Amino acid sequence: MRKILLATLAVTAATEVFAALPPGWVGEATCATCHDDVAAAFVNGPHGRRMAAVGKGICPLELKGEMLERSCETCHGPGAMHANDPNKTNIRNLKGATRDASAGCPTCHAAQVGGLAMRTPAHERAGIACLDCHTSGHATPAAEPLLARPRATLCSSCHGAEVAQFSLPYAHRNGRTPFDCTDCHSVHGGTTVRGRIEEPGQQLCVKCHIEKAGPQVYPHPPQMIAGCVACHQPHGSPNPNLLTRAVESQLCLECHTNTPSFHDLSLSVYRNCTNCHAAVHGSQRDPKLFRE
Amino acid sequence: MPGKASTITTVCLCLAAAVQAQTTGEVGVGYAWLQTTGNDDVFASQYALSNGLFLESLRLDLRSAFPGTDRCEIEAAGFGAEPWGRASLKADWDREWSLRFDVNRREGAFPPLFLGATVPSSFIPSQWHSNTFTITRWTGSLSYDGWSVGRLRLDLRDVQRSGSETFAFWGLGEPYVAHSTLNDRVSEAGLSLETRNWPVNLLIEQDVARYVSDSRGEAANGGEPLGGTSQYLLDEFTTPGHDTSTVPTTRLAATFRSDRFEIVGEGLYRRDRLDADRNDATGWALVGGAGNTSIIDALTGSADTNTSLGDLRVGFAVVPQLTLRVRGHYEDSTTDQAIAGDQILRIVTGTGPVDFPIALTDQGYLDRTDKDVSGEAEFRQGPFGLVVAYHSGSEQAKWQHGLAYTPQDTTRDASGWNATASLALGRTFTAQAGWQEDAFENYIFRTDPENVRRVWVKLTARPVEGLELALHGSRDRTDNPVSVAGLQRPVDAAGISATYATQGGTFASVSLDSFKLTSDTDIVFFAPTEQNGVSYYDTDLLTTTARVGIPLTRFVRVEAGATHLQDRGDSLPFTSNAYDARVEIAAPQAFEVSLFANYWKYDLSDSNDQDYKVTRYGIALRRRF
Repeated sequence: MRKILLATLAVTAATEVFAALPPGWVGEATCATCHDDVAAAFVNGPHGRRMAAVGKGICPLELKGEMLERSCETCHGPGAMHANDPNKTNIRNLKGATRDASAGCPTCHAAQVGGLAMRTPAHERAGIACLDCHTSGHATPAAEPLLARPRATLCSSCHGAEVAQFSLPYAHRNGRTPFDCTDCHSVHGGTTVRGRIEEPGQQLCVKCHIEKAGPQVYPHPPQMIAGCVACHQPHGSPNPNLLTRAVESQLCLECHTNTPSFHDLSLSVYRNCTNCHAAVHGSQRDPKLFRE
Repeated sequence: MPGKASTITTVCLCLAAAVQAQTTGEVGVGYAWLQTTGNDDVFASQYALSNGLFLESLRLDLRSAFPGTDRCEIEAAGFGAEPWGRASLKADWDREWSLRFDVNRREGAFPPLFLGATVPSSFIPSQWHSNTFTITRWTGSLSYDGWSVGRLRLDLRDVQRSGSETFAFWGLGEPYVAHSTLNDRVSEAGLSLETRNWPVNLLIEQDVARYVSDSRGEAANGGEPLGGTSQYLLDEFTTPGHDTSTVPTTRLAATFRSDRFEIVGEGLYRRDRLDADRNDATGWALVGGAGNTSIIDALTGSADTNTSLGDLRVGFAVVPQLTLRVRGHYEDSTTDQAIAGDQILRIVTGTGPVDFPIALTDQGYLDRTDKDVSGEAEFRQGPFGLVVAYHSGSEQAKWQHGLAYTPQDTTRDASGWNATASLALGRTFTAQAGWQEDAFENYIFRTDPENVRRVWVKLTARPVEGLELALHGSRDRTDNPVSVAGLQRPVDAAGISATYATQGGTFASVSLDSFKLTSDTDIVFFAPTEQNGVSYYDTDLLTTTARVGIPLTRFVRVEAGATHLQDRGDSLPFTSNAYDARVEIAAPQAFEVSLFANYWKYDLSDSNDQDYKVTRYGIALRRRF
């Protein structure tokens, strides 16, 4: 009874102090009169700290620094009725389906979620919602940005086949651990091209492998047309060059069926095509790609 | 190693300064010992770890040190004995300015005997085949968010590749070896303005990148050929030369959103200009000083690529449960290449040099045009979701490698359907299933598929708080007819996992994954007469993992994991095991001491020369403040 009274007083005060609050909203301070532990955990957690510091114009609600004050109701819905009559039926319960629980996220994260709706990447198609991967901000995240689990294990629960390939002898690793999936993949659906900073699709690799970007005087057409994955398997391979074949010559012969007859594969020198055709990613002087 | 030590020292000094400034955060430094039996070059090429000091973690919140900042954080890890390192700075102030700065460094090495079991190594002795490289990426951005109508952002990037490569090449009738130092660099800056709160929001971006390559070569093995003594010694090797490329990019995107409509249009124009100078020589001296022979290049090459891209996406919510979307995409890229100059054969005898110049002029092109339209319907009702999509497109590829080559021109058409269904019963049970079928006509490369079919399913159950059971499976089929290349590429993957985690920090997880891939393509080769054959790759991976973390007491926590991997395929069967364990002990004054150990075993079934067993163990000290 005492808490209801406090909440009622807080609603009245909030209405006067935060005149900008939409009808039916009471503000975080009112919520905290009953849910003080939850509110404190959120405000002091990474989501709350970020909301307190966020830029003036980012949120479409034009909050001008009042974003944190609206944090509870942005996700849980307007709280005036709940504050006057606290029960579970007049406030949005986020313990149901993650898709429903994620409904408030686009209010501020329109760029990610709105983009999802338009670009329809596989995650959106499969009904993956924000809170399937992210925490709400009440709990301590396992990794940034507000991830429910470390990146690698988060992705592996669905993408086990790809993660298994990272166990192959040669893979993109940072020492003991494989690359983060998000080093290459845009989980929210990417844009198309952004200069050289974000290359499209298969040319993404040149973000690090800068010398392969081209153009070249004598390019190797598969690289420019089909991309790096025409020959490479970036998730892992038994070949140190991450080729899609364990043996290099077999890969080359798949396209080069008209090699001159002196390429006698019974001799070891001819089993590694790059022994001679060293400029396999393109040459600036040699049409047969002998030299760079 | 001195470089690594200085890096660690610098970081530690920064830490000391930071602690002095009464910041909050944590810092952890570790020391690792490595013991290898077997082929340590192969281990180095796979994990690249070494003995020594490394930065386990650094996380500093410097807001109190810099009053007025809304956020000021430094994070770093790696360096030293780790083959990678990462550091970042995130700073926000006045609720208007945002600064991001990130450096990422990665070292890598290729094994000397990378031909392994597949090719006898006698052709190239191991010491003459090595490749070590370091890629260092600096990225940064500064954005101003103080306007209610938009955001201004500056992006910067600098990527360097350095290292060295020793390689063999075919010289005057025999294989010779040479050494090359790598020196590639890309510098880039982009300025963008993104509006908001307008009826139609715009993104305008101008970006320019510059690539420079100045790699240099020199003769190795004292100029001796690998086959033994010869009358010719490689005494000059200055390839490859100097490349520069300048790439301006202009991008414009417009977005309109309402309750029921969403329209996004995007256009991009990019121009790549390459200038490549090849003024170098490869020379052989006749033993005894009787003269020498050089192949001298005095060549200037260029390539110009113009890329135009247009993309339009429209979404329409017919009713809350049904959304329709269409997308059109067009991309055109044309490249014109040219080279001119002289290639000179110079023979020096006692009477002086005699040049045999060959004027070289050549040109080529490579043009590519992509067109694609797609449409989809998304239906969602309660826990159910269904997305059905169709796409149709074409890719035209035209190229002529040089004037002596036959022009190629192929337009490859593609169309296909896909569907994804999902079910979410609260958080207790979720299921997703998908189906995809694509068909292609015409072939740019003979390895292009004609049919691609894929089905997949993923199930997740959370029967009790903290327990998650997951199952996934997929089946891919890719092929083209025997009249083209007889491509067959079946892929089957399946896996199950169980994870249990408590609020108190205890967790345990086990997983079992199977990944089977077979890829066959018909080929023709000489050995020594012409034969038909099959290029194949067959892998049959079974991965078993287990991981557990238990807080034994308030002050002691144990975490351990094991991975067993077995490839039972025909191509390169192997077995590998990896184990790790870590004990973290809380100490007074917010210190934490950790003892850790790793063990790796790699066993190639068909050969012993690449096997290894590696033990890594060490100690780490961490302090939170």
